[in-house]
Amino acid sequence: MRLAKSEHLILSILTARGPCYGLELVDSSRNRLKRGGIYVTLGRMEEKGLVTSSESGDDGRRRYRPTALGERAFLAAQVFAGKIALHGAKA
Amino acid sequence: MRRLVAWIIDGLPFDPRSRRALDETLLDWAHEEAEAGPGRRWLVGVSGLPAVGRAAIVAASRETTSVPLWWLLKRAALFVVLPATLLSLPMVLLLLGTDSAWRIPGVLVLLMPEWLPTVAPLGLLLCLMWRPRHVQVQPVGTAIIVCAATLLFLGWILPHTNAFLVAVYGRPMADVLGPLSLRYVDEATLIDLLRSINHPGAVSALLRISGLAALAATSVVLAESLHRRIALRKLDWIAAVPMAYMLLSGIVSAMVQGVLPGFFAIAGTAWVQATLVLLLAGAIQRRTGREVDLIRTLRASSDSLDS
Repeated sequence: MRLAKSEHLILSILTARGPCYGLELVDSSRNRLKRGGIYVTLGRMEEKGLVTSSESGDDGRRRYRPTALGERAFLAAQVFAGKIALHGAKA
Repeated sequence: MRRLVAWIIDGLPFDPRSRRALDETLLDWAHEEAEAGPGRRWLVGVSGLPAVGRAAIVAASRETTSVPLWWLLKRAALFVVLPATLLSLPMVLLLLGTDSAWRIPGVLVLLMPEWLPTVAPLGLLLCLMWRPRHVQVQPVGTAIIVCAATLLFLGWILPHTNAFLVAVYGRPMADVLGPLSLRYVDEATLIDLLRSINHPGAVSALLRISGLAALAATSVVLAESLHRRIALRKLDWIAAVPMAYMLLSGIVSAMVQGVLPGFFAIAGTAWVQATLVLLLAGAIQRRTGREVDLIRTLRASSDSLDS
């Protein structure tokens, strides 16, 4: 499964921080994720099975967390990126 | 500000995925407003607007790329192109028995586009409203595509076919088409109109072209709102919708042309019609959109549980 840049970033934040609201993801990304586009990306990731969400609190906001598939995809992407970097250093 | 934006968005028939993204962005905005102190509240109230605007643009772009184009083209051929061709027939049949009878197929092809701007809004309304339940159309994306296609057609293809028709006959358009002709055929491309924007005629033509594009787009929005409402009810009265649409269209056209001076009446009619259609669609959407979205979500969950 290929991860887009924004999907990779979201998974990295969720893996490091645990369940987050969309707005927390935006704040943690240091403006690399935009408020207006975050939920379209999260919706797409939810359809792909990379993240899951549940309503928390009374205000109807949803917390997102990575699924097992999301965690595996993120780890695979990390390993792949590491191998590319190693290959580049050797060359 | 937030309530006004939420009210406007509530009136647009975004698909469930876009709706959810927009709802969550609005919830964030409300949350931030509630968290902010009294001094900062107005700032937060304004700063949420770009985020919602961006969310709407991203959602609309996603919808535009997900529209089932092939299905839409087939339906448009049946509900828009075919009626336009049939409406051109009476004029073409005048050539029967004359020396120019051999020109009938060619003239039919050239005349058909003249009727498309008139037929398109109603045709689109019908083809989208009367679609099978399993066909999912992204309404806002479809409206954007229809708007762009109408602008392209009216601003480029129609002026060229008109020029070609005049060249074939070597006479002005009104003489060629006779008493059945459409009175306000478009003869300049959008680029020509933009170049001569200082001329009042160009402004009027631009308003008319953009108004017809807006009317076609709002017809899509109305069709989706009606489809959602009627999907929950009996289909018996669905035939009344085109009648009501034509009646409303006629009344508005007559009223606008009675109030505005001639030149601007032609330009303004389509915009007034488009605004009324959008308001009507918004009222229907606000009334039924949420319950239909809920039912669809429940159906989808029950289907996934079954499988």
